[in-house]
Amino acid sequence: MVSAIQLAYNGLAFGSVIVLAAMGLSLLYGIGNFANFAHGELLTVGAYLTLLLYGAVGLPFVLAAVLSIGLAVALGVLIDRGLMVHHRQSSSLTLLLITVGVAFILRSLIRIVWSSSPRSYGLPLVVDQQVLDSTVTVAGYDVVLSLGVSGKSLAIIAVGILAATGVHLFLTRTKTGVAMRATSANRSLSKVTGIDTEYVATTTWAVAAGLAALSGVVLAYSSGVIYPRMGFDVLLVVFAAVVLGGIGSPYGAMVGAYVISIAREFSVLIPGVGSRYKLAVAFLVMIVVLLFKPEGIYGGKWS
Amino acid sequence: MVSYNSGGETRRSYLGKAGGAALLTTGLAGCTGVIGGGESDLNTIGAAIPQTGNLSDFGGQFERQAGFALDIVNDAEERIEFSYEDTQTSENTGVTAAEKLVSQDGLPMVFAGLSSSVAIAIAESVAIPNETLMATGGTSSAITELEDDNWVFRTSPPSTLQAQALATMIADDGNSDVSIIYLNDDFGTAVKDELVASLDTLGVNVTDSVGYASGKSSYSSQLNQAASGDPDAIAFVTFPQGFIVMAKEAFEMGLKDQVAYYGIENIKGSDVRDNLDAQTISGMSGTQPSPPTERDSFQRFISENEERFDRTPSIWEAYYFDSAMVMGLTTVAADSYESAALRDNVYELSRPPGESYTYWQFDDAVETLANGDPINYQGVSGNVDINQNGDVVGTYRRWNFADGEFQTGDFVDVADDL
Repeated sequence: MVSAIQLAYNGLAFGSVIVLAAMGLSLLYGIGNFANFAHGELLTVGAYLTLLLYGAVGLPFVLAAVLSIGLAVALGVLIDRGLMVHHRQSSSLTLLLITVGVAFILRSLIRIVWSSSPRSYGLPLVVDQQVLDSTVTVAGYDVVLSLGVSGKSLAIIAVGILAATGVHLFLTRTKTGVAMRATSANRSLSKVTGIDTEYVATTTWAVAAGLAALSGVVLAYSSGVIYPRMGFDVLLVVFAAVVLGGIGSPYGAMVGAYVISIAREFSVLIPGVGSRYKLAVAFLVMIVVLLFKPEGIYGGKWS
Repeated sequence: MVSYNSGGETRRSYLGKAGGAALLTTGLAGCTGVIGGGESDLNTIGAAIPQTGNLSDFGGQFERQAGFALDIVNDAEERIEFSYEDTQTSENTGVTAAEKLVSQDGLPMVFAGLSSSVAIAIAESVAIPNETLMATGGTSSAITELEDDNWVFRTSPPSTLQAQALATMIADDGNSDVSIIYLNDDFGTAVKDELVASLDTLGVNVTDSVGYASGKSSYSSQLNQAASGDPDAIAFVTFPQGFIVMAKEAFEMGLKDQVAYYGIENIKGSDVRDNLDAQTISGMSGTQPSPPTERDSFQRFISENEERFDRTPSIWEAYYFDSAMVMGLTTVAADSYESAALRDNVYELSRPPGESYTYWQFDDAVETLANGDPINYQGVSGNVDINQNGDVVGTYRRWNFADGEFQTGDFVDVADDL
């Protein structure tokens, strides 16, 4: 029997990886009204840039990660100023296909530079410490209470929660953040009232790319493997989190990321459902929630 | 399936050479046809292989080894030639290519398909309905299952047989309870099924077999499930990328000290070695298909290849060479160049009780056959004793991970019960 507490904890850790990517994806949708299919590749770029700066250049890991996030921010700005700026009026489908193109280009570039072979940071191993290890009997059933925790998983959860708090403060306490919320609510009206919507769009790309890169680094740190499809492989879960939370709302993305990640882990508790059906169960949860709340948990609200 | 073999870069780099070899061989084949002219005993064997597409470099390897075998078979007397058609590594094109060889050219024997999917398509829609003898390079266990009335055979061992060697090893090491983590696709499931059946036969209890999908960043639930039955060992039917995540995670969960690890050949390689801390998999063992490296026939095959082609052949090339040699011997052994006569001879000449001959004893083997006595062809890739399923068993070696390296160990004697 597996421990439910452990599953919840694992879900929390995975949710912290997903929340980083989901917030950016949702911001981009809220401001630009398009689904960014290049988001997965922004994760991958972050992971590989850190590999370059940490593994090849030899910088300390945290510094390498911070610098790669900076580089990813620059990449986000470049994508917006070089490409997306010409398509502010284009349809969502056009924008979606452009981002698919960007995704393919980025992934191919990664393959050219680093090949398809898996890589890793080679960071020291961290073994889980058992903080709980007992079994209690409740109404005739044995309930396993065990929990293994490591500095690594705690760090990942801390990064996720800190970043979510950071995004919240940015959106509520800074002028740019407030402008972003205004633009998301009504772009034309925001423009009329003097908000520089171009600046808002570019900033959104910068923030989204930076968060995605951070997510990629954390994902690679957590799984121990870096490969060209790594970002794309989690993109589906990220989209599910965003849709579940209410697409366009960063707060919805925060809730959605944790709900879907924990639901994914808990699926193994259902008798007869093997762990290979985790993703299906997560999506089932999403579909059921959308049946009752079609606009998602947060329904596109920004506060 | 060929495509599961690792080392994409090296395969690709031979592309150029492969193309050159293709031109050269077809050119030569054309010439001999013209020179031979008129009445001749020259028999044509059809070959539908990938000259373009994903497996094109394997096609080049086939042509290289077929050419080598041809020189031996035709040394004393012009006997056979190959007629090539390109499958483009695609089922549809492959079937068309094979149809041209079988239906239009009326050839009674073909070599077709280096990948299992193309091989099965050709076997089902061309070779079996047309009652044509077909050799193939595919390694899927689905080829064993074909209702082929003995029309299809191969000299490359089916990939699932590795599971028998792995099961033997796990049992011999004294494990009594084992769980399996396997990639949830055709290949992984087939290997898992064979492994479960073999372990069962050997009296080892399988506590759980857990499927996984590739591309996930965590496999903690699979690992938990695999560990839940308190097994002595976990067998990993996995590929490097997923395995790297699992091995690291299992170590962090503290599983490493509780169970022994076993794995299939795909795990062995620099991807796993370079991306995992050595202590996460130290002491792990596994199986890998291996040519009988200690035998004269294999060593001579390697050195002659290096001399002729200036490169070391892969294990696949040893299989292709054996295929071509068996087909050459079959044309000699059969009293007519017709499908049924060929089929009646191909199985017998590959296995006991006949006298054993290696490839350089080809002329002696021909003499024995001429005297009406049976022969037993000894291949370079192994004994090449083709059973009634059209399969050969193959040889397997143990690998161990120790001191941060994969080390090749002893040959595994697959248990007789399997």
